[in-house]
Amino acid sequence: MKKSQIFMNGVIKENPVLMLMLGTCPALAVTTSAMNGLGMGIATLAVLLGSNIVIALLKNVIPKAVRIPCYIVVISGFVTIVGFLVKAYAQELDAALGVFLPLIVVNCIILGRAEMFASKNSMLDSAVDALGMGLGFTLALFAMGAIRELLGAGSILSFTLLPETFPKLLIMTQPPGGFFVYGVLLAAIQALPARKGKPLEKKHCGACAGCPAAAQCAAAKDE
Amino acid sequence: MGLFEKIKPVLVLTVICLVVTSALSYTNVITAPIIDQNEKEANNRSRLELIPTADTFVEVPMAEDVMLQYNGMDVYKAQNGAGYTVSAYGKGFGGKLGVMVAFSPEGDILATKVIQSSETPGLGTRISEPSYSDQFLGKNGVIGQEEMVFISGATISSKAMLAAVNNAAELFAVAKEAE
Amino acid sequence: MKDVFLLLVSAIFVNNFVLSKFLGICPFLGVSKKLDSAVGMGAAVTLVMLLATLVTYPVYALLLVPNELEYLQTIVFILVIASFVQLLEIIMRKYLPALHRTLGVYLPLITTNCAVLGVTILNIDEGYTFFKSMVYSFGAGLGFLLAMVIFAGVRTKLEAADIPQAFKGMPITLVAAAIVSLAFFGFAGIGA
Repeated sequence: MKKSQIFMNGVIKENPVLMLMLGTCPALAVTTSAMNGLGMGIATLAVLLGSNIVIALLKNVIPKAVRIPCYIVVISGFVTIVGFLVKAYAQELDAALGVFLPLIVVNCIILGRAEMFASKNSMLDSAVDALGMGLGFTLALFAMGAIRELLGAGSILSFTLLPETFPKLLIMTQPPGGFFVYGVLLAAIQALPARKGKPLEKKHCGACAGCPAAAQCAAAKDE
Repeated sequence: MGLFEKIKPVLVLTVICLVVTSALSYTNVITAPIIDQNEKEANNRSRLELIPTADTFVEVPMAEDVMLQYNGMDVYKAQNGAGYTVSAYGKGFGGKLGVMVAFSPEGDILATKVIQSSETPGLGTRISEPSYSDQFLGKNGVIGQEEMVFISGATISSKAMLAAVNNAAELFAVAKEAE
Repeated sequence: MKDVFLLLVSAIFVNNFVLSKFLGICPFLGVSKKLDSAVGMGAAVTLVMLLATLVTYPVYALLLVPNELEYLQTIVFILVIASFVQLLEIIMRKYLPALHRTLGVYLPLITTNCAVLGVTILNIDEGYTFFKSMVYSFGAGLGFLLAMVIFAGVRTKLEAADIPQAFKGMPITLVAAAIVSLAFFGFAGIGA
């Protein structure tokens, strides 16, 4: 596969939030403003880039039997480091992301890409894949944050866009607004002519092949 | 060969754990002082904002039982005697509400500032607006509910702020007594 | 006693893990199609949350804090929870096959569930005592169970509804979740 193909795959065709419906927790929780969505996206991108590169480099060293624990250790290492950097250099973002910053570790996009891509491809390809997926995640979160901020506070990235007289839908920056905006966004994607009315399907983390729980997981999925 | 194959997974996992842990402790050593410094500076900025005439602030030490009773709150004193700041908390609509209150040496409230809040934007956050928070200025001691005009539509947030300010006033009295 | 009760009520209703904190959305959307699987998942999450707190709290307070290793929190917590859930699954399969059939199948699914890791981190962040942490975890689990059960009911109704083409599937599920979340929003401010 060409590098550009790998990159665009994550941004559009397999956009983690909007096409595969992965990483839904942070996508709903931190998108109360465009800035927070952007910050979360970039933090996740950084972790994904680091873990994809390291795992691609170690793919021949890590024994099959313990690879999921190995991936988790590497990922949580990067999450902690990114957490430190955010705390040290972007305190406001740290306050806005709160518990969702350490929780990047259980964002299934990252473990999923480690298992599906980085463990089978070269370091360079894995880095490109991480950039594509990370950018796709960031763009989706930014879009959701921007819509919620615009409807809820009349601004995007704190620039006031709507006139004062325009009613502010405060609920949009609250939890119900998160579910609602996400639902309408997905409906808009389903309505695209290119999809020919095919409904979107929620993917599981993608680490199924290597996961000891695959059988049970499939059983629960079928319901 | 057989034995090595058996222990290899454990070995690799252990090595990875060790490498990651040392990388973390290295990052921690570098960033911990910066994080600490940032926190102190941010708090100091808030204090100076409330009492612009102050020079430097020192924390007023407190007895252990007082610390326990007012968990997480603190009292700072301006060294040139311009006043005191107390960080105190109340229970707001969306969770913990933190308020920093500046007192004159006589115990009159000079200024207030919300330092931690998860109140509803546009409604509960109006407690920071002067139309509400100016009511605290010049008050001395614990304030009764009848002395305040609460924001309609944000009564719980308004009461939470009052509770936090009253907590601050109580702690200030205790600290002043001990001095 | 009053504040313990308030903590429980607030974890279940006011700060519901799924509907107002957005933790555990994956299982909430994935396993809520049928009532019995929703109940099984909710009960398994409650159990794991309690056990995870039971293990991680002492690890943090007795191992990490005295050695000034708080910065290893994330990595240690996720490893401890993952290995503990595996262990629980093995024990359950061997000694409690009946329980394993109803709850056990959901256990591996929640190893890397953000609600479970989330509750253990929040317990530390909020500075709860061990007892309060256990109460909070229990409440968070019950809140999750409640959200699952209510939502399973809503989804059963959706199956029979006539939905515009574009909204079929996930979109309408999310819009329905928004309305359920709106209902829980009414609890906000209680206990203040």
